[in-house]
Formats: sequence, C-alpha cells, structure tokens
Amino acid sequence: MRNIVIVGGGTAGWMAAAALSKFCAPEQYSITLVESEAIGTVGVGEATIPHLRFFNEKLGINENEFMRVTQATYKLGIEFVNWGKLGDAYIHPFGDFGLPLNDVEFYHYWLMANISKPQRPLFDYSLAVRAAHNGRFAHPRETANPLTGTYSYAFHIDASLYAKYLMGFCVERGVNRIEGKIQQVLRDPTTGNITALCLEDGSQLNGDLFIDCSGFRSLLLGDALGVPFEDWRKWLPCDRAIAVPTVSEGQPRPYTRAVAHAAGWQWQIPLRHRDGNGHVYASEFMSQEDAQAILLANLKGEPLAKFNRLKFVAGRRSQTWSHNCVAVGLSSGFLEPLESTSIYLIQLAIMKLVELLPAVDDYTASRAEFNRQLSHEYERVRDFLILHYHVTEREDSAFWRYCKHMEVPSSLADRIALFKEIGNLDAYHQGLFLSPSWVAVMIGQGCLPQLNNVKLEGLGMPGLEVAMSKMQAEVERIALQMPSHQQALGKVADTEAGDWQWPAAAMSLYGVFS
Amino acid sequence: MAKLTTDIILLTRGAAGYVAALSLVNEVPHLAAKIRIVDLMVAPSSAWFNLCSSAFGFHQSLGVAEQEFIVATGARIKYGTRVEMLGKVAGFFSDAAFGAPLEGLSFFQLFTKYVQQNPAATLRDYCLVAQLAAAGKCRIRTRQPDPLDDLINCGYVVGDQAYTDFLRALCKQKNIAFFAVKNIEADVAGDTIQALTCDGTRLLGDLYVDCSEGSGLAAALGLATREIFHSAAPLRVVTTYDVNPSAKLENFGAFVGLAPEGLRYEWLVGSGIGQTYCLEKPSYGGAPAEQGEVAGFAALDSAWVGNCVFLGAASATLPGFIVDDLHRVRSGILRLVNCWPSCDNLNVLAKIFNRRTQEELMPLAAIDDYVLHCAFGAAVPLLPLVEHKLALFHAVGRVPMHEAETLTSDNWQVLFHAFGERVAGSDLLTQAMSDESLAEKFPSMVRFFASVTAKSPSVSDCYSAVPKRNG
Ligand SMILES: Cc1cc2nc3c(=O)[nH]c(=O)nc-3n(C[C@H](O)[C@H](O)[C@H](O)COP(=O)(O)OP(=O)(O)OC[C@H]3O[C@@H](n4cnc5c(N)ncnc54)[C@H](O)[C@@H]3O)c2cc1C
Repeated sequence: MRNIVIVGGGTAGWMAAAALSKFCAPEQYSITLVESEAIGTVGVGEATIPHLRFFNEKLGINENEFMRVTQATYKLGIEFVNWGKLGDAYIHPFGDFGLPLNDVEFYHYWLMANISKPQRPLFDYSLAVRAAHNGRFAHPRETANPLTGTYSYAFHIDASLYAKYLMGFCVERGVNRIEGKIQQVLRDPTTGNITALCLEDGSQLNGDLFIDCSGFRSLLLGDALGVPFEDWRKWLPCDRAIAVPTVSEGQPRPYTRAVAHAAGWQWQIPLRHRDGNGHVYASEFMSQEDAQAILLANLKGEPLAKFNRLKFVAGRRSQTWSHNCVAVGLSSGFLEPLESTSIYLIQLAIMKLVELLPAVDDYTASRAEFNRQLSHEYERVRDFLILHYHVTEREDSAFWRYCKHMEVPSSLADRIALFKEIGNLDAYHQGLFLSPSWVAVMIGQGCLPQLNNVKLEGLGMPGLEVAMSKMQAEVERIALQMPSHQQALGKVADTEAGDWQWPAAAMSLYGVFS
Repeated sequence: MAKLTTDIILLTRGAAGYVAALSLVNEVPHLAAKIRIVDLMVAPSSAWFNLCSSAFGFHQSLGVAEQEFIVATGARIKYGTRVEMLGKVAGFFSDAAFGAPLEGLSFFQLFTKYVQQNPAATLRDYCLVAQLAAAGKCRIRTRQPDPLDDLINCGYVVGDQAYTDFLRALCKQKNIAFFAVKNIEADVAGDTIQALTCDGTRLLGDLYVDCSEGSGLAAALGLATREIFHSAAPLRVVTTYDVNPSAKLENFGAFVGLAPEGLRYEWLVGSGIGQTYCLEKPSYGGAPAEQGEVAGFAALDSAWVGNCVFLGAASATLPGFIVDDLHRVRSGILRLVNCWPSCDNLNVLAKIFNRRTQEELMPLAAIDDYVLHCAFGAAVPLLPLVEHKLALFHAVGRVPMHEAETLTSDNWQVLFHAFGERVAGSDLLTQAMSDESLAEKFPSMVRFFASVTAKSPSVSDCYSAVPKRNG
C-alpha cells in the first residue's frame, strides 16, 4: 500500500485528490487530504480555458451537472480593453480566424489585403468573437460547414463550489479528509524525502508521496525542501490584487473582460449568481488606495463582500517535483490571471503526474520529465502574458513605459521579431497557446507586419475581397443563428444529467493537451 | 511590400537538390522560375538510397502514386528493419502503424499493461506490415484508395541514379532549371557568397541552398562543425554493394544486427547490399575493417549563415538508420519557408531556423547513437537525450518528446521494443484501464491483421503485377 498525502484543500488540492482517487487502484493506494479551515483558501480563480472540459471528461463528470453546481456561465474568450492603446478593444477567442485558403492560414490573406487597403477587423472573421459580441452561445459542431467547428469554449465558475463538488466526488471514492493545521514537516536524514507531517493536535501523518497544494505558502516544496523561487517580476511587475464579488447587472456575457488601467488591469467575470471583479496592479507603480479607488469607480454592480487583498510574485519554483513531493497549484508558482491559466497549470500538473507516476518507488526518470514539461509550460504561458504588456503603443504611465521598453526573454523577442518582419509565427506543438492566440494578441494590439508570407506572393488574388466578405457574412450569419447565452444557460439548468451529449473535449483549438 | 521572391541556387550531388527544389515548389509554386539546380553528380552513381516512410507523402504531394514511383525507379518496398543481436532475433522496427488506440490511450501504453498478463504477446503481431513481411506478402498502393492503406507505412530502397533521374524528370515538368557541372568555386566575402563559378560560368543568387555533402561551400565560408555523438574509437563504415541478399533480411527490407564483424546494417534490393559499422580497435571483439572509411558524425554549428543555407547531409552527417538525409532536406525546406528571407533582418530568421534545425537533429542523432550504443556498448556512450527517453520508457513505458522532433513517440516505442528494452510497469492512467476491454480488443486486432495478411499477394506476385515502364 502506498500512502499519498495531499496538503491543502483549495482548487488544486481537491482537483488532485479527485484525479488520483479516480486513477489509483484503492487496493494499492490510500489517499489523504489535510486542509485547515482556519487558514482558508485563496478564494479567487473563476475564469477557465477549454482544457478544463477535458479534465472533467476524464473524471467522468457530466458537463451540465458541473455547470449547475458551480453556477457556471459559458466563456468564448477574453475581451482586452485599452491594451494596445487607450480606447482599443479586441477579443482573444478560443478559436481561429476564418478558414485557410490554399492551405495558408486566413490571417495572412487578411494582412495582405489590409496592406493594400484597410480592411474590417480580422476579429470579424472569428465565429467565437462574433458570437461573444452578440451575446450568443452554441456548442461547436462538426458539420458540412467547416466554420461551425472553428472554436472551442470554457466556463466562468465559482471555484469554491467546484472544490466542494470535487470533495464530494473524492469522499465517495474513499479519500480520507483531515481537518487540521500542519506545524512541522519531517524528513528522512539520509534521502531528504519527506516522511511525515505533524499536525497542531499532535497527530502525525505518514506518507510515501506528498502533493503540496498549500497555496502561496508552499509549505512542503518551498519551506521544507527549500526549492528556490524564480522571480519573474522584471517581466510581469504586477504583484497585488484586490478582488470583490458584485451583484450581476444584466445578462451574463459569454466572455471575460480584462480592462487595462494605469498600472495593471481589472477583470470582470460573469457568473450566474454574481459577478467576479478584481484589480491586478503593480505595487511599485500604484498605491493600494489608488488601486482600490480605480476598482470601485469601475464596478458595475453593488459589492457583495469585503475586499479580498492579495499579494503575490510572478514566477515559479525551479523544480515542481523534488524528492517525493510534487507541488500543484500556487505552491509551484504563479502567473497572473490575465489568460486564466492557473487552473490549467493545476490540471496539467495532475495529469502529468498520473501519466508519469511509476509503479516503483524510484522517481528519478519521472521527476526529470515532469519538471521538464512543467517548466516548459510555465515559460510558454509567461511569454504569452508578457506579450500583452510589451506589444503596446501605451506610454501614458510609468508602468506602461516600463513594460513597452523592458527587455523580454529571448524566446519571446525572437517570436515577436519573426512576426513583425514577415508575419509568420514560429509555431510550436507542445505547450499552451497555438498560432490563433498569438495572432489575436499581436494583431489585436496593433502589431501589423509589413512583409508577408512568401507563399502568398505568387497567388494572384483577384476575387480575394469578394471571398473575404462572403466568409465574413457567413460567420455573422452562423453567429446570429445561435441561441442567446441566457437561453443556452437555461438549457443547462433544465437538462437532466446524462440527457445530453456535449462535444468531445480531447482536442482543443486553443492548445494541444496530451 | 519588399521583395519576397529571391533567386535561389541549389547545390547538389544527385537526388537531394531535386528533392529540395520540388519540396520548395510544392510550398511556393511561383518559385519554380527562380530556382537553378547545380548538380555536381557527373558520373552515374551506383549508390542506393534507403528512404524512410515520409517519402510516400512526398511522392503523393508530387502527384505520383506508390505504384508509379516503383515502376519509374525500380524501387523496392522496405517494410522495416529486423533487429538481431548476435544471432538472436530481438525485434522489428518500422514506422508503420501498430495496433489501435483505445479510450484515449496510445496502443503502446495499452501494450505495456497487456503484456504483463500475456507475456507471450509480441509487438509484431499488432503491425500489419510486420505480418506481411514475415509472411512474404506485400501490398503496393495504387491511385485507387483502399482503407487498408492507412495501416501501411513503408520506406523504400532505390538506386541513387534511378531516383535522381525520376526527380529530374519531375523538375523538368515544373520548369525548374538544372544543369550538371564538374567544378564549382565560391566567391566569398565574410559570411556572404557573392557568386558561384560553375565550370567557368558565374552564377549570381540571392539565396544559396547547399544540399550536397562535400561541395566545399561550408569550408569556403569557414564554418565550424561539431561532433554529434562520440565513439571511443573511430567507427569505420564498410559498404559492400552487390552481395547476395542475406537470408536474415527475409522480406523486411532491412536488417540491423550485431554480428562478429560489427554492426551490420543491410538493405534489401534486387541483388542485395550491405553496410557494416565497426570500431577501429578490436575492443568490441570483431575484426576491424581496415579498408573502411572513418565515419564522422558531425553537424555544422549553424545551418544558415549569411545568404547560404545547408540542408540534409550538407548540414549534418548521420548514419541514418531510421531517417534518411532526404527527409531532413524536406523538413529543412519547410522550416526555410516559414523563415523566408524576405526582409533585411536576416539574423532573426537565421536564428530561429538554426534553433529549429538543432531541435530536429538531436533526436535523430539520438536514434543512431542508441543503435550504435546497443552494438558497441560503452565505446559509444548514450547521449543524455537518449538516456532520458530510455529511463522514462523503462519506468512507465512512455517516451518523452521534444519540440520539432520528426519522429513520433510511437517510433521510439517501436525502436526500444525492437532492441529488447523492457518496461517496469504501466502508469496510473493505463493501470486504470479495464482488463476486460484489453482482453477483448487485443486478440481481435491480431485476428484482423492475420486475415488481411492471408488475403494479400506474395512479394513476387506483387512486383510482377506492377506494370512495366514504357521505353
Ligand atoms: C488575484 C487572483 C486571481 C485569480 N484568477 C484566476 C482565474 O481567473 N483563473 C484561474 O485559473 N486561476 C486564477 N487564479 C489562481 C487560482 O486562484 C489558484 O490557482 C487556485 O485557486 C488554486 O489555489 P491553491 O489550491 O493552489 O491554493 P489555496 O486556494 O490557497 O489553497 C491552499 C490550501 O492549503 C491549506 N493550507 C495551507 N497551509 C496549511 C497548513 N499549514 N496546514 C493545513 N493546511 C494548510 C489551506 O487551508 C488551503 O486549503 C487567481 C489567483 C489570484 C491570486
């Protein structure tokens, strides 16, 4: 029997417990989760990306039931307001732009046409964007019309309700939940492995494998094992957040909003029963009072709770798995919620653990691979987040001037340069954010390359404008045929679990999941 | 808009440059008029190409069906490589499909679990082409689509001359200019080629693409090379053509085995050919082959410098046990198109191209390093990349993959299985798979492959049914 001990009962802890209880044979593994109500959870984290659907699918969780218990709404993308310059707005959709022509991605044609004559926005060719703007939602489908399959979707959820739901799932599967505060971590003097946790009530919890989901405290990986933290603040200077839920105003939008302010940005996340709001800012450039005032001034509905003030540092632990301890969630690192990637990183760590945990106690190979993949993913997300701050015309505050002129990681600098020079993306297959996402942010924030794809040069394009306007009309037509977001949510509420088949989640247009 | 189109001079010695030109024109048709191929292969070549399976897709993209390619070149299908260690059959390598995935798990993950309960199960039983090869059967794909075509993935063995002639004819059809020359001289200033003088004629290009080993261009530019993997003693390669086909080849098409004289690598063609790698010092126990050439496995530090790009064998020499140089030429062209030098900031394009080239190269080199390590042990140490892949394979039956790898994780799985590597146990995801569904699905796969094999024609019937080339 192998004892797996999970420390922490936030989103990370319960997601880890759920997946492990699903995949570990009960006759071989015992799973225990310790959490402390006195310490509580971070209490934020509501926007997701489409991969969460894959996680639920693997666990056998019915999507409608999941949506009902988490008070979820649908999400087709994120609207970025004031990022490229003040007054600008674009939606980064979970999906592609138009359809390829002659095997060349559509955006190249748009760029080519736009160079000779300014065109309507590229975003008008995205079904997800048009549906979002029109407040509509339908599930993507494979039909005779390929446009209907060019997008994906995710959810806005009440993460504390999700954790609670998963707790029920876990307890049913034999996970042993302990309420208590960990005071000390014991290690084997020879191997350095963690052997046991000492709780406040004097009890001791022995384990073979420890999953650290203790949040920003990083109780095991950081504190006990001393794995160093890599500070990425020089690229992502935001280090504070003030969060507050408000009464929902009007119909929920099927997308998240991220509105840039003078030294950070504000999120607006519509749930069924309330809206989530928060202001993420850089303390070096803005005081807490100013940040709070900006948040208050920009809230739409009445606040439902006190302000939740949070401190963090962008970065990650240099290793996510050390000795016999795997960190999942905030204990392994944090990247601001601009692209809703934290729950994805939790899910990724859990699924990689399930894929790599060996039947024997020698973790050497699995640990090396786990750490390689996690650091790769963290760096992909990091670069994509930095892109939002760096590719901008804004110089209206010290914060934006800093971001615009800072030196970015060379991996990102090369990527931006290639796009600026010839409009191509150094596409990759591993890790989050495929070409359409990079295109959305680059073009959405005003980075328009002057040169274009060599493949296009010889393709005389008489009729290109006609083809483009036909495609755009088709996108608009399909978007307007969709039910309203409210109607789609009504169907979720009315449909019994199991009544209804949602589209398979394994493949996302947004990024490839293993 | 700045100038996108460029005058391209492709340097080659035989097939590689034509492959490059055709791949480039496939991607960017209007470049046909801008390409000039300078071919240094003046005498007819008696060498053979051992093409990997990506050649099939390439020929298809040129509008040539497998059957037509075989008629035109006299090529022979290579279903895979039989692996033998000192007389004992170890396994079979092929990049054809194996089995079928189930509930989101790859066939190989499932196999790690199935084999624990059914130790007699062998991987070959789940691969159609392995079954065909073992039974002396064959299927040649025609223009008529057949659902079984998806299960067939094979390489070819083809004469260099015949293949070059075939590709030249296709270039001619597409109006791509080429000419044979005996001698070239490069006029170089710094890292830029000013002109090439070919048999006295001065050629000016914007972009020079060198696909030929030993054109002298890299030396003229003063480019540094680096050893890709190391051997304690020099490795010699002895190539013998026109030997009788070894019985060991059976119908697999290729054979790699540890024999007393070294690592034998043989490909089956009409009369048969063989290639042997051996260590110079007899530490391994076999007889050193004095007449062999020293095999140096090295890569250019940068495959793109100034206005010159090196592809395939010109950028790195590898034994190519699994992936041939022409495959690397094609993937290099795809990379080049994505970084097409249509702006002044060539440094950023070259940097990305060079990084991607390295990312592709190292895992391919790792395969060759692994095969040589299996033969010569500590004398050819494992690259860290292979060590990592192998360690994880041993631990949980998975093979970690890196960005820009040309092979798939399935290819690595087959390779490791072929050389007799064993998996300690499956991962949690695979363990959770129900035994009943495996017990039902696995035997049915074997039955299916056996029934297709039984209905397939014999190798000799298959080739004799291929229409002969006219004239
Ligand atoms: C401002 C902000 C906005 C965010 N928005 C998003 C978003 O939109 N989308 C998204 O995906 N993510 C978002 N995130 C991230 C997301 O909130 C977290 O990834 C997620 O909540 C997981 O947190 P956790 O479980 O790792 O940590 P926590 O929720 O902090 O849980 C830690 C657990 O450890 C326990 N614990 C700690 N110490 C002890 C101890 N000594 N003894 C016993 N138990 C202990 C606690 O009781 C708690 O149960 C956001 C984060 C921030 C800061």
